[in-house]
Amino acid sequence: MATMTTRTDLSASRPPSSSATVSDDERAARIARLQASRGASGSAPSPGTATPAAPARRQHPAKGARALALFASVAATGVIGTGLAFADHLDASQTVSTGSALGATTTAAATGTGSTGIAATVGSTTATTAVAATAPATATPVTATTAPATATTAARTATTAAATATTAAAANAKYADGTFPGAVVTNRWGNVQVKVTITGGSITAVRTVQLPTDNKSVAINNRATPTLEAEAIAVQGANIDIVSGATYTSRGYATSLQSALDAAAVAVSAKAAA
Amino acid sequence: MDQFWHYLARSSGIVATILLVAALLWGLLFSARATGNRRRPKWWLDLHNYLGGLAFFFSVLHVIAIFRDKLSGIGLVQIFIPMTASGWEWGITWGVIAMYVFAAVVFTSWPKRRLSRRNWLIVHLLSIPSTVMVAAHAWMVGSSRNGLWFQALLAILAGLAVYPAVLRLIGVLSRHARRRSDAKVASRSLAGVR
Repeated sequence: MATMTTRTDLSASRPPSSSATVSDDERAARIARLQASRGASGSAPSPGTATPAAPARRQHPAKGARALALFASVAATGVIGTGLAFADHLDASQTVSTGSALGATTTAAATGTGSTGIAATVGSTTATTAVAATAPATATPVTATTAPATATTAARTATTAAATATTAAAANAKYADGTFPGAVVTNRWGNVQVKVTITGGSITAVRTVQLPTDNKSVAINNRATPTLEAEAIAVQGANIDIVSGATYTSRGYATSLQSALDAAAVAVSAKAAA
Repeated sequence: MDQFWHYLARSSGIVATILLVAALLWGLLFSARATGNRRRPKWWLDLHNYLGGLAFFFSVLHVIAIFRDKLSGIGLVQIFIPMTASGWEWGITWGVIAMYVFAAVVFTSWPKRRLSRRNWLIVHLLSIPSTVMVAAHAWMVGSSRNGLWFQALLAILAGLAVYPAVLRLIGVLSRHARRRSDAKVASRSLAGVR
């Protein structure tokens, strides 16, 4: 009632219109139109009025830049991952080639000098491993660049014979009993060297002599080396798979193991010749 | 397949770091009153928000890939609890703490702010030390940390993060100094009137 009184007073204060009072029907229609325009729930809009607009969607002013950032991020992830894999593969290939050359040299030294000679020869070759060009395992020039000066001539002569013995030994896969250390293979994380124990002509154990010593490499190698040893014993050779996440260790492990097996094979040939 | 997770972890970590620095750079440039440039502020803010979310997504992807890589030595315990990764405790710890801080920054800003303006700003500014922790994490345990390109990338990202932060700090300090001097002038003029 108070409201109606207020409305009547208001209408009285307005300039006189053609109809002095507002009828209830007109008032109701006006209220209905107001409610319809405000989108009030439960009230049906009167005919002729526009339906309320849907809530505006969130605008993204930087739509194009967002799409570009998303595309660039996904593409970069793929490209970087592929590039890293390729770089690791390239480094590992160079390590294998260099290590094979080392194996031939070490085998030559092992024939006459034993394990001490191996350590001495390998110690002097390690320093040049990182800069040695990739070369075939039997190439004499590799020996010329890596062997110490005092043993160059002897090593050069022995390498050719050892390379031949290596090929023959690899084909027959017969090893002398004993423990044979392999070559030291240097990679970006450090040195890798193993020694193989052969009993009754079969590989019974492979132990690591040197491994990279930084914390992360130690953790990775602690998990990888048991797998590598088990594989080497299972296949009775150095043709083992790379352990994921330990590419450098796996490659160095296989190379060093192969050189140790070569030494064992040469020992068998030497005994047979004797 | 294991190699896939290994390389995905490395690449997503690098991309997440780049996105994090980009988000930080955009945010600092957006709020840098010292530079005086506020071209299209809505564009800056929108892209800053998106880059932050994208950086968080790639960080989560990095963690998942590390977890799926069986030879990474990182399990659920190492992911969520600091100082539990044997062999490189601090390196992984920086990453874990940075992840928590980053998550707090993202989830207090998106989809809407749930804190007061002041508390939100304090949490949001923790993104700066979080970026430093990410850099330490990458430097200490990144698989490519011995590579020259990686070190150069970290140096560039550090520069991109530090420069606008210093500009912003200078702007804030100069604004405070201006307010103090204005207050002094106002108090002197009032004293003169009296």
